Order: sequence, then structure tokens, then C-alpha cells
Amino acid sequence: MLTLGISTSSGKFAIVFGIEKKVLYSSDNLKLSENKDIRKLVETGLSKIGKTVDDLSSIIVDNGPGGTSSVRTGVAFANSLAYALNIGVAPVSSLELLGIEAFDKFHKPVICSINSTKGNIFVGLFDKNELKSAKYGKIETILPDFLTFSDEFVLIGHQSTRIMELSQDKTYTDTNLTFANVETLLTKSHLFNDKIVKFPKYIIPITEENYQ
Amino acid sequence: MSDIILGIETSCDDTAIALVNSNGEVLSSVVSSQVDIHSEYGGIYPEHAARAHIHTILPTIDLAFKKAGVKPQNIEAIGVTRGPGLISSLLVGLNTAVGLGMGWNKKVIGINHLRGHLRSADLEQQRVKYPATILLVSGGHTFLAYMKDINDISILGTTRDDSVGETYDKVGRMLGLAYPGGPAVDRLAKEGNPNIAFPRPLLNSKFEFSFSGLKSAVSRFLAANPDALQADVAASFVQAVMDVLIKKSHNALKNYRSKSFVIVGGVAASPQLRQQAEKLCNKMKVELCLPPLKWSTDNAAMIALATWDYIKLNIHKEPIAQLQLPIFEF
Ligand SMILES: [Zn+2]
Repeated sequence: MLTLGISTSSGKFAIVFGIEKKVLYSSDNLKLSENKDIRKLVETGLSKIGKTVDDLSSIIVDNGPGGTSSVRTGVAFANSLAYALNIGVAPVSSLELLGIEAFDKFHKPVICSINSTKGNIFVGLFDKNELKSAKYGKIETILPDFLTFSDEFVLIGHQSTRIMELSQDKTYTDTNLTFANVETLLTKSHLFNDKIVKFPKYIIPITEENYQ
Repeated sequence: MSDIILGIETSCDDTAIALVNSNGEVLSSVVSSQVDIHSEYGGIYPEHAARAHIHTILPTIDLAFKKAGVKPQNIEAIGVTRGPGLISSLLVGLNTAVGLGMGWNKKVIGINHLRGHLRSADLEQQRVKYPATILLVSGGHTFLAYMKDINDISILGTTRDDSVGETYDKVGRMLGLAYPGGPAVDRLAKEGNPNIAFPRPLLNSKFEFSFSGLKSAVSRFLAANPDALQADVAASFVQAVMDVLIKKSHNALKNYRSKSFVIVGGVAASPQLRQQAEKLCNKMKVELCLPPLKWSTDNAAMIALATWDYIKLNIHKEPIAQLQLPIFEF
């Protein structure tokens, strides 16, 4: 029942191995995250836990948004490895990952944000294990809608400081985090089970085209 | 040792997958073309190309195996284009290959796309008689090479700026023709007279090419002569390109003893080029080798065939993307 989690949306590559919700190995701990060779990361992890690729029973992959090339790298690898092993693969958006992590710590609605190109932002409103709303565009335009949801928010992601500046009449808890921990893919894997797909279905990276 | 290579090619806008055995026999070759996507924008946008590759690559691989009636366990290795090409597109093919290689426990070799083109003429049957002079003319590349044999390759000359295919596409756009411009320009040229004196860039340099000056000359001419007969512009442009290609090819055949003259790449489809190359070869007493066009344009069978060369010579290259990659490198 070995699961591999892959997150590349931050531009840094991170992987995690675990069984059920128990983390056996996480590349973050070994400061390997600057390594852009996903094969080496996975091989190192497998050898540390004394397993082989044939022990894998599922893959969970962060499908962005984030670094366009790096997300595509992680997703292409996850898709083909799952196809080759005839196992399932589940997508988790990087915003959802941020939301889960922040909600888990503070138990309040979370506004998560990830920068895109031309001043546009991916913004998500997360509450109780669910992404309630997802929008793409200028933060000034998106924010008013989100703020009607509550008086208190947890902030995570690139635009946290800007959000506090733009709307000062709400109460904020800043996580000071811009990217989620790869281990969340595993420790919260029960949340992603119903998203598992098998070929002929496969995972597509989230971009401004298919977001919302 | 199994006798089959899985070839993966995503250097530009086509997702191409093939299964080829060590004799060059093509068990299957599937090309998912993105022409429809790119014709809407009049050219290739790297981000669109990469997104399309992610959509098509696994179904294309699956189809290639089904068509060949081959099981993944029966392949010897995976050969995947590592460059030159669009980095975002290369990454999709490379990482897919790495994932498959890991899952199936197969070696993954990063292949030079240009070596694939040079070997493409020997797919399905041995066509080239070595030593050979090869002209590669496509949207991505333009060069002349000399091959003493399949492992001894020297580059004679390449383009300083645009490729022939790119120039055709851009002139096609200036003339209001649909993308890809090549076939449309050739068709229009047949109806016109080559009566406009466009430049023949670098005609006196032995093997080097340059096409940006010609492209600008066409653009200037059209701006100054809006009422000019479009067919005459196309015919004059094509004639200028042909004069350059044939002159350089003549130089190569004069200086390097060749048994075959091979033309590969999408522009090899040009009827004008085929006709004039035949004349040149008759004059030089060299055999003209025009492989089927499906092996001439980007495909993965040529990558798989080149992979056999790497394996036979025991050359391993990591599957890491390279924007630029010289032809003489494996
Ligand atoms: Zn090519």
C-alpha cells in the first residue's frame, strides 16, 4: 500500500513516500528539494525505505498552479509512472494543499494565493476541507467577493501581505508560508482518494485556462 | 536482448511515438499533429505546444503499443528526444519517458533529434548509400551534412538565422495563406512567374545559409507593390530559395565524394526542390534519395532508429533537455 506524493509547483521538487497516512520518507527533510532530477529523488527515497517501484500502489501529484514547467514535469512523470505500473494517480491543486495545511493549523477560513503571469493571481477560498471558491485575475478584483464569507481569515501564499493592506477591516492570521509541505499529500491522503484516476484518464496541470 | 525500441519525440509541435526493431522495421508510428491548434495562431506558441503534449502523450503511447501488438516488457529501451527543440515541449516527452522507464525497468536514452533526421532515410529499408551528402530542410532546421557512414557525421553548413521552413511559413503569412505556409506557397508559386529579383543570401559562401534577408526583401516588396501578382511573388521567392539550396548542395557534392544525395525535412515535400535536386543529381552522377515524407518530417521512428545506433556503440546520454545540441554530438 505504498503511496508516492510529488509536489513541484513551487519550482522546487519534493517527494514523499508513505503507507496509509504514515510518512516513511520525505525529500524535504534531506534538503534535496533543489534537485530537479525527479527520477533521482524517487530512486533515493525508495532505497532509503528499502522498497522498489513495484511496491507502489498509488501516486498523488500536486498539479499546480505554480511554476508552469515544473508542474508539467511532475505531472508528466506521475502520469507515465502510474500508466507503466497500472496504478491510480490523484491530483491535488497546490491551492487546496495550501488551504488544507493552513486550515489544519488554525481552523478558520483560508485565503490562499499563488502568483501567475502579468500580475494575475490564482486565489482560492478554503474552508472545512473544501475549496469553496477559486478565481483567477487581479487580487483587487477578486478579494471583495471572498471577504463576504467571514470576518476572520487565515492567509497563505504569495499575496498574504497585499491582502492585509487591501482590506484592513478584517482579522487575519498570517501563516507566513508561500508553499505547502509535500508531506500534506500523504498525511491527508484520505481527502484525495475519490480523485484517483487510472488510464485512459490521467492528470492535466492546472493553468489559467482550466482554473475556476 | 529484446529487439524493439520505444521512440518518443516531442521537440516541437507533434507528439510522436514509434516502436522500431533493430533492422529499422517500423512496427508502429503514431504522430498526433497539433496543426489545428497552431494554425489558429499562425504559428507555434511553445506554451500551447507543451499543453497539447501533456494531453496527447499517454494515449499516443498506448495506441502505438496496440498498433504494434507489442507489450512493454518486450522493449529493449526507450529513446527520447533530448534536444534541440522547445524546452517546454521536450520536458513533457523526457519526463514521460523517465516515468515509463522507471515503471517498466527499462533504460532511457536521451537522443539528439538531428541524428534522428539524419538516420530517417534508412527507416524500413536501407536506402542511403554511404558516403552520403544530406540536406535537412524543415521548419526547425536547415543544414548540409556529410556522412562517411552512419557514425561518422560532419556538418558542412547550417543557417545563420531562419530555417527554410520558417521562411516559407512567414512568407505564406505575408501572402495571406494558411499555416503551415510551405505547401500553400509552393502551390501558389506554380501559377506564377519568377520575375521578381529577390536576393539569394550568402550565395557565395560555400555551405552556410541565411534566409532572414530574403524574408525581409519579400516583405519590403509587398509593402511597396501592393498590387503585385501574389503568384509571381510566391514563384520568385521559391526560385530564390531553390537557387540557394541547389547551389550549396552542388558545392557539397563537388567537394565531398558521395554515393547518395539525401533530402529530409518537411521542405523535402516541395515539388520544386525535388525536381531541381533530380537535375543536380543527374549532372553530378549521384543517386538521389528521397525517403517517404512520413519519415522526412518529425516522427519518433527516426528517434528509435537513432537509439539503436547509441545502443550498438554503447553510448548513453541522460534524458535531460537541451535547447541547443550540435549535430556531431550523440
Ligand atoms: Zn525536426
